[in-house]
Amino acid sequence: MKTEDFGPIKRKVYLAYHQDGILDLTAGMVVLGFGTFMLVDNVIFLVVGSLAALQYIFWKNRITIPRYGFVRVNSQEKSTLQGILLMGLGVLVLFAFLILNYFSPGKMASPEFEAWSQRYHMVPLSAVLFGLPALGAAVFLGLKRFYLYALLAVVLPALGGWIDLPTYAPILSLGMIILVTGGVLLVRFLKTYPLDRENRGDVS
Amino acid sequence: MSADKELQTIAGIDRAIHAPARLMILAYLAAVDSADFIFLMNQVGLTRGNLSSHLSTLEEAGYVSITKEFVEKMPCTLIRLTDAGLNAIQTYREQMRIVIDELLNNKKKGA
Repeated sequence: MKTEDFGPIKRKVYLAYHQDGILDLTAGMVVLGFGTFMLVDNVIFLVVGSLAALQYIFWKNRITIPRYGFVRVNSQEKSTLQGILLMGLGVLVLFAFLILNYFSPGKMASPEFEAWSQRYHMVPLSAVLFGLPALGAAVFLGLKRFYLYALLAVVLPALGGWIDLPTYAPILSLGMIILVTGGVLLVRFLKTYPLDRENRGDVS
Repeated sequence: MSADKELQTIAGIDRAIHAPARLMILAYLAAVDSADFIFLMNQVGLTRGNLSSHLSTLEEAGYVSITKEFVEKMPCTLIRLTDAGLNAIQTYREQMRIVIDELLNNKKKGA
């Protein structure tokens, strides 16, 4: 018998460990920080958003481990092909971004294309900055809701460009969606795994 | 297989594993690299005292190892399945399969 026979238990444990919403909350803070930076043009919000991401381990140790316990699971075995595909996709999106924003305007693009690229320039930017990391989390961590975030990172800016919203609005919306999802998951996690003070700390 | 032999197989089943709580503990430990006490308590649904008692039994049988380590600068009691523990689960599963198969076969023949 191999330990792979216990795959369903392993998967359940792994997913439950990430159902605390902390990853969503930190990701939401980063996106919101970026959106607020675009809104008020103050770099401090970018820094605050980035600092929130650095707090991930701190909150995991503070919230998750005392309630859920500590567990070390082998990293999810994902094929190299998936990694290569993801990287290839990233290069493609980045390439599209470069074409739209640096090479086309004023050089070889028609005025219509230039207007179109200006209207939708947030789509590749958001895809690279937020969509790809979300896709990475979805593929490599196996967190399905991050596929939705990755999709929203493309769809919301496209929708914003289509209905002519300010560029920060879709980013703020994306950040709020991720943040609220994380908040809901965290509340659910705290209810499922209340802090048992008697069993906190090092017991054996 | 005669009824006596079936009973002998049942009698040979490892009692250290056969208790549902201990079987659950071993199944969880087989699925992960290592886990701490709180994790096992949450998953298996035992009280602190019960889990301690079951872990002691498994440790005495050599099926789990319990070590104290620092994880992210915090002291942590980590529990791991040993190779002997993994082999024991394998043997247990084989024995249970034989017993159940034979019992079902005899039931069909008797019907």
